[in-house]
Amino acid sequence: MKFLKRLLSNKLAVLGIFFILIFLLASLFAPLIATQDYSEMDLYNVLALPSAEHLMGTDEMGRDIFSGIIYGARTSVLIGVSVLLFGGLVGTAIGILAGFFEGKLDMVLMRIIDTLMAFPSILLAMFMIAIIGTGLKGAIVAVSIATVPRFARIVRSSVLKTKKNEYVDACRVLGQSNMKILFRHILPNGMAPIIVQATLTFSEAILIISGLGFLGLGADPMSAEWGAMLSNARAYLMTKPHIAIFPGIAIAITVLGFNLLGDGLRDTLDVKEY
Amino acid sequence: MKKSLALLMAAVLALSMAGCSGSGDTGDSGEAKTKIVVAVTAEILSLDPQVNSSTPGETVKDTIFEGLVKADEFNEVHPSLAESWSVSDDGLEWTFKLRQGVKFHDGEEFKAADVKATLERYLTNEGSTRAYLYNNIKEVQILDDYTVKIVTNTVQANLLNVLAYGGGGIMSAKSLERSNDEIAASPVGTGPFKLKEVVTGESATVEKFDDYWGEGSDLTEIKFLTVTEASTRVNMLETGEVDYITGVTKEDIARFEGNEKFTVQYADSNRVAHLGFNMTKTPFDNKLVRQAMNYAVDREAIVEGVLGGMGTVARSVLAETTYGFSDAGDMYTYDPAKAKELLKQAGYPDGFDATVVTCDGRYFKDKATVMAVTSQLAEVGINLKVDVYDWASYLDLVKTAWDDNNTVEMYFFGWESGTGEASYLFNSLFTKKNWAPVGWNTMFYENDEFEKLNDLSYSCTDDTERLAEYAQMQKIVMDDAPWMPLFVFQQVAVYRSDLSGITLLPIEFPRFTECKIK
Repeated sequence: MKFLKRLLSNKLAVLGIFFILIFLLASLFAPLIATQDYSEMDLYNVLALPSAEHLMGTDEMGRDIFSGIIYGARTSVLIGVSVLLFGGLVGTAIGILAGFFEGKLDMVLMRIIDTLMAFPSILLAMFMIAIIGTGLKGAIVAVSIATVPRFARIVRSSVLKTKKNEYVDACRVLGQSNMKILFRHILPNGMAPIIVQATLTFSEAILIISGLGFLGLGADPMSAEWGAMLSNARAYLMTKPHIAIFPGIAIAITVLGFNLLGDGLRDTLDVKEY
Repeated sequence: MKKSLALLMAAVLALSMAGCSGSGDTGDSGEAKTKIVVAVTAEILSLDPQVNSSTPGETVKDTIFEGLVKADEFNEVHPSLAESWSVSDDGLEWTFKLRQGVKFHDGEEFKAADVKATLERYLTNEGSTRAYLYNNIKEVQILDDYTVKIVTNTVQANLLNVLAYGGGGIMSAKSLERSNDEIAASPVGTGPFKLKEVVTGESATVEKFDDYWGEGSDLTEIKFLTVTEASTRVNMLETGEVDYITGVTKEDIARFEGNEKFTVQYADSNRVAHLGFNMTKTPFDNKLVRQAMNYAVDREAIVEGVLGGMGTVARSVLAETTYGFSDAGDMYTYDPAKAKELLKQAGYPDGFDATVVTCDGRYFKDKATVMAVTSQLAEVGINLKVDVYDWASYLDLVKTAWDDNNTVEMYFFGWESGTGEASYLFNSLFTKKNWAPVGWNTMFYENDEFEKLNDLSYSCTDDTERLAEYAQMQKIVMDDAPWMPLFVFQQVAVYRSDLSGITLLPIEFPRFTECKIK
C-alpha cells in the first residue's frame, strides 16, 4: 500500500494512469461506446466533418472515425498484450538462463541478443515481416521478436544483481533447488525493472505497430487500427486534416499514458537505468 | 539573460525560415523551363517496347519510340514511320512505304531492315511478353530499303491498331543484336527523345534528340519520377519539384482549379477497373458465385464515394469509348437480394471467406476501391481479407500460371484497351491461348463459343459483322462473369500552365512528344 501511495503522489504517473484507464475502458466496452460498426461504410457521406451523428467525422471511406478509434483501442490492447506475452516471456526466459547460469550459455545467448539489439526495433520488425508476411499477426510476431533483446538484457542484469544477495547464498546453503531459488527468491526480488520495462514495451509495441500500419505493413486496411487509419488519412492531410488528427491524438495519448506510468513506476520502485 | 538568448534564437529561426520560402520561386527561368519533371504513379519497369511494362513505362517509351503508324486520342490511325500503306485483296499482305531520312538515336538510318528485325523479334524472342499481340505476323519482307511487306498468317482486322500500339515501336536492327537486358537498359528508337538515364525503381530521364525528323517538342529534357503517393504528387507540384501530375483526388483538384499557374486537364479513359476471379479456385469456379458477387456491389456508391465522381459506372468489360462496346444492357445491377439468392443456389447460403489482393497507388483509388467492395460483399456474407502489394511484386503475383502455386483468389486491375478496339482485350485477356503467364488471362477463363467468335472477329474486316461478333462476345463474357467490372476511370492531369500540346490518350497516358512551351 505504501508503494501505491507513493505512486499516486506522483502527479505525472496519475495522469498516465488516467490516460491508460480511458484507453482500457474504451477497449473493454468498445461495442457499447462506439456509435456504429467501424467496417460500415457510407460512401455517400465521405470525409464528413465532426457532427452529432459522427462525433469525429467520417474518413475517406465514409466510416465513423470515432468508432474506429474506440475499436482501434481494442486492437492496440491486443497488440500490447500479445507482444508482452510473446516478447516478454521469451526475453525473460533468455535473461534468466543467461543471468542465473552465466558462463558459456550466457555468452552465446547475449551475443545473439547483442546482434539483434544492433538493429533499431522498427527495422528488425520490418525485416521479420519480410519473412513472415504482412498482416496484424505477422506484425505482432515481428514486434515481439524485436522486443526480446531489451527484455533479455534487463532481466539478465536484474538476476545477476539479485543473486549476489546473502539470502540467496543462505538458500543455497539450505540446499534449495535452482528452480526454487530462481522463482521464489531471485525473480520476485528482481521484478521491479521488469515491470517498468513491461509498461514501456506496451507503449512501444503500439507505436511500432502503428508505424508498420502506416507503412502498409501492419494490419489489414479494413481493420480498425490507428496506424492504418493514419496512413489512409495521409492523402487528405492538406484538405481534410480531421481524419488524421483523431487517430494521431489517440496514439499520442495512449503512448504518453504508458510512458508516464512507466516513469512513475521507475521512480517509485527506485529502479536504476540499465 | 536567458530570455534575451531565447529571443535571439527565435529571430534567427524566423530569418532562416523566411530565407527558405523565398528561394523556392526563383531559378525557374530560361534553361530550366524546358526541362520538366513528370510524376508517374508506379515504378517504371522495362523500357523494351516488346515487354509489357504498364502505363508508367509506356509513357516513357512513347517519347523514345515510334511505330510505322500512330494512333491519336480518338484512336484514329495516322502515318508515322510509314508514309502510306496498302493491303492485298486477300487481306494477308500489307505493304508499307517508309519515311526517308529518319535517324535512330544511335545514328543509324531507319530502313526496311529495321522493321523486319523489330517485328520478327516477336517470333523468336521468348522474353517478349507482348508476342500475343504480334505473333500472327508470319514474316516481314524487304522489298527495297524503304518498302516492306508484312505477311500475316490469318487476316488480322486490327493489324494497324496493333502496329500503332506501343509494342509496335521500331528499334534499330543494330541495337537488337545485343542481349535483352542491354536492349531494355539502353533502347534505341527514332522518337523525339532519347534515353539519358535510368535509376531503377526511381526515375527515367529522356533528353531531346537533335536529329529528329519531325517537328518534335520544345522540351529539352523530361524526367519521369515515380511518386506513388497521391498527396505527395500534389505537394511536389505545388512546390515546383514536379511539373506534371496525374491521379489527383477531387479534393486536391479544387486547390488547382482557378489557379492560373496550373492547367487542369480532363479526358476520357478506356480503362475498366475490375476485380478478376481466379476461376481455378473454389468457389470462384462456380458461375453463380461470380454472378452473385457482381450483383452484390453498388458501383454507383463507389464512383460517388470512393472516386468522388471521377469516373463512370462500368457497363461492360469494355469501356463505352472502346470500339466494339455493345449497348445491349449486359451489365449487372446492384441487387443484394438476387446476390443472396444466387449464393444460395450455388450452395453458399451463408457466404464464404476469401482473400483479395490489390496494389496501392498504381491506379487512382485502387486500395480504397477494393476496401469498398469488401465492405459491400460482407453484406451478403462474403468476407474478404485484403492483402496489399507493391506494384512490381503484384504484377508477378497475379500473372503466375494457375498450376504454379498461384495463390491469388481475387485481384484488382484496371485494363485499358491498348489499341482502342475490343479485340485487344478479348483476345489477350479472355482466350485460353493467353492464359497467364503467356498473355493476361489471369482469370483462367475459357469458353469455346467465345473462342470461336474471337477467331472470327479477329479476321473479320467487315465492320458490321465484326461489331455483331463483338457484341455477342461481350454478352458471353458478361454472363460467365470472370470479372466484376466496376467503373471506367476519368483521367485528370494537373500541370504547369505554360505547357501545352500534351495529349491524354484514352489508354491513360500523357503524350509529351508534341509538348510546347508558351
